[in-house]
Amino acid sequence: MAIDDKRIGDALARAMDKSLETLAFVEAIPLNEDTPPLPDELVPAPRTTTNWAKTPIINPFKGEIFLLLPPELSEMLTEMMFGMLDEGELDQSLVMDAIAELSNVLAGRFVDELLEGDAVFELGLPERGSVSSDAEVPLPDTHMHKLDYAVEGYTLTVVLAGVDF
Amino acid sequence: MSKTILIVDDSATARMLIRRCVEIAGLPDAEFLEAGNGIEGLEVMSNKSVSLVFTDLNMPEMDGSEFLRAIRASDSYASIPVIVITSAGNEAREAALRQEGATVILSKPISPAIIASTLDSLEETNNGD
Repeated sequence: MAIDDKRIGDALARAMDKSLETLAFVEAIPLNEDTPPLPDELVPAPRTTTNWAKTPIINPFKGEIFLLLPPELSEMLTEMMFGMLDEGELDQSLVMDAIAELSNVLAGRFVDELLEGDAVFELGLPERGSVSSDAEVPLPDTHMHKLDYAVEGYTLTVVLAGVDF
Repeated sequence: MSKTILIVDDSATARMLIRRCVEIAGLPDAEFLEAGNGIEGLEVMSNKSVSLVFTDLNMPEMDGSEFLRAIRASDSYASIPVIVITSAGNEAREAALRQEGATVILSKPISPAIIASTLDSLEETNNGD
């Protein structure tokens, strides 16, 4: 059951807005062919290290949703999610847990947007990791959608993988 | 009397977010207990009296649905309000969870305003009993 690209793009845009604005109070600007060129100060720098998190989508679609982002943005989003953190509270474990939770929330909102609220769906448990380049992220060997967003001066990449996407 | 609130979620981030939302929402003096899955949640409840439970659904070992059913099947815990917070929530899932005994179902992402409104509704329901 392949879903058309426009439906996926629209559902993901709404899910990104809801997840990032509610959890971290930030805006994600899509970086695609339709986006006007960004001012220089908003053009994201390339990643030198990639943190990734993925949440499996089990039912009624089969696939996975990945977030790829640099450590600097991971830490920034974690701090924004919690408002204020005490000194020493922001450790790597909390940062990786936070981006896994973000991928989990995004996956849920994305599937709900696709289903328009009228069917039960099931997600798997999130996984996370940190690698030295995007090429090392354990993406599956299936059809993929890759969408880049500018967030607070960094690139956040969302990858949808699976036969239904 | 301050409330004792159990938060069950396998994500430390989610537990911390729920806790902060509850504190901001008007229960800064609540005592918080935490567990990473349903089994741990039941262990906590066997050792300590709990007045309100927040639980995720998607957890390893014992998920939120099993945990909810165990609570509702217990004479000791059956009357405790259980708020399910899930990333896989929508109208269809809410109906199923109400059948299983969930008091309130909230979809992630949550906010202090949503938690405040939920706690107010629970309070009104309790006062109306």
